[in-house]
Amino acid sequence: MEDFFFFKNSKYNLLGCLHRPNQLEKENGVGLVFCTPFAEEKLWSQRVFVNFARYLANNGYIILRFDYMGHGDSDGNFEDSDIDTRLLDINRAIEVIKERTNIKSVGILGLRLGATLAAMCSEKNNGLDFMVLWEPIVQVEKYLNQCLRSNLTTQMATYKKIKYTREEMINDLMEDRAVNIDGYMMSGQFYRQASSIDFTEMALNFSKPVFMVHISRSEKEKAPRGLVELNQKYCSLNPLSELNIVKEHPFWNDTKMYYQKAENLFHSTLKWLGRFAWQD
Amino acid sequence: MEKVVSFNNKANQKLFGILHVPDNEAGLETRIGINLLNPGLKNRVAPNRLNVKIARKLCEIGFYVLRFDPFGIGDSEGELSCSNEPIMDLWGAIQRGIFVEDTITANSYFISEAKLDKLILIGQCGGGVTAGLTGAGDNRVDGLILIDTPFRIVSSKIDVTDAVMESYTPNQLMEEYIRDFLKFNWLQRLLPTRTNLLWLRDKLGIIGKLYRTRNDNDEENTISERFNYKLAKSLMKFMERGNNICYLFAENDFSLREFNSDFRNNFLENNLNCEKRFSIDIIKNANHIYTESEWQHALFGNIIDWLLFRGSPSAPRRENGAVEQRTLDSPSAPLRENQEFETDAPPGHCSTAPLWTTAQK
Repeated sequence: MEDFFFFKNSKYNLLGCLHRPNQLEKENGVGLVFCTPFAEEKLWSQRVFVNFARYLANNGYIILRFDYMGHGDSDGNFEDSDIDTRLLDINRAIEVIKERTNIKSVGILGLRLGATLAAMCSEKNNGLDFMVLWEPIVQVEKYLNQCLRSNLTTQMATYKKIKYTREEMINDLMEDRAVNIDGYMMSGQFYRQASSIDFTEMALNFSKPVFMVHISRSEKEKAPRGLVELNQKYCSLNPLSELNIVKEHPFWNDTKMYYQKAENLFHSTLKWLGRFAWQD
Repeated sequence: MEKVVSFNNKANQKLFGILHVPDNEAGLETRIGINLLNPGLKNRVAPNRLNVKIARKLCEIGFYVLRFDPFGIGDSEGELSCSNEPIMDLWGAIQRGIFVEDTITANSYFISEAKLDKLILIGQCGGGVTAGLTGAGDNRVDGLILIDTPFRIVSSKIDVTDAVMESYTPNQLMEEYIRDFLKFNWLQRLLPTRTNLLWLRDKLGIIGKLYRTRNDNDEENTISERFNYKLAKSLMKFMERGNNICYLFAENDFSLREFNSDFRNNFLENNLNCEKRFSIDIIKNANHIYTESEWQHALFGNIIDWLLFRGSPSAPRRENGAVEQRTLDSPSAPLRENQEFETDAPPGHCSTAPLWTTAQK
């Protein structure tokens, strides 16, 4: 059962979709709020999020998917959104799922920058019972520098030369001028806030179980050091936390396959939720 | 106002969308609906929220806009296949019309829900193909805006080299590569690194194959084996019914070459029944997803200009031939950044009697 609605956060309407089991008696009292990744990665991964929400709902869970302000069908412009607005939106979505359902425990699930935001949110939101992080970005500045590369690629494709260097882009961002990433205007405010996020340097407090996933084309590949270190921090706070390596294509990128489902990822996450999610 | 809507398709799958309803104060005298289709396998939002931006601009002027996800896309029910499939094959399926039925269903819902007098379809890339195929079969459609619409059917079995070869003559390709070689870090290219050698091998391979199989005289009126005849026939049928089509292209998009060499040269300009039924506009420097704001503004400006002033089937014949083709420098497009579109005819644009007129409320 799926219910679409707009909900208010401050002066903005945000689009949400609540997924529930078709039969009320199948509900297991556990809710999840999904946090989407950055810019075009959100679009590429959208169908996987939809199908995972349906898969979880079929297994008794209640899920709220939503668009941050300036994203998808929600109000506002992308360039007006930053890390703070996204965190406010996530917190509001957590309130909404609690208001609209009878869940007993609630967690958040995020992909890429969405996972990073989920982890940021968990540091201040005491009402969360668990967290699922799919391929979180541990050092956001490095990630944003990769994003800036797409601007350079567009310039090369259009003008066959670089007219606007990465250094100039960073200067502009630091002076509060927006920079174009694949058609999304990234504001200086967003860049400054996001690039200061580095989990390798941060002390963490979230002491509930965390399921972290490194998504890799090969099961034999080792998880990146940043994820391993982040997992160690969470494990020291809660022994039920774990890091898994799951074989999937990086479906949040331009791939040759139309990714509708990420079966391995779905199964491993459901299995983990089944063990821990509803423990008090 | 924007509201979430849903309706069932023929397979009883629930399709979701957003309906943009103009304020009473805005509005046109005639209720015009724009069904803004999703591009290919992307959802109703489209890359960099392009469809959301277009929809909101059009709604401000007074158009009703529907953006919906066909089955297997975005939030809608159904699956395109039972497993993850190569994107190229699914694109091919879209080019053959898998979303046409859902689009007709969406048209019915839209007309009834918004009590429309006129209906226009706008589609980009695969959405343009769906719009074209739907327009031929659905008599309620009054106009089409096709953005970067591909005319050659793709599949995962196509060799990329063959696809490149179809679009160029040997001399054209040679010129292009030499230009690339000279412009792009040419000094670096002279270094015998692995990447450079692979680049050189690939290019020489393609040119060699091209010279062996084709010559420059082949170019005239040669239609690709992958040409989408179904789409071409649909578009001709749509125009023969007395409707207008606006073709919009990003200058750097692959589809412009396909359009010119396969469709325009062989069909569009040879059919007297269709003269004055279409316009072709090219947005200078733009790429396939209109990443730069100035390209987006030029795109919005063109769409609005055509809808308000140039899309009329009753517009007088132009002086010098039927086809209007303009290459627009983006900065001179009618919409300027941070400025609302003015409903008066922009300077320099023909102001023929529009199909629908703006209400002065």
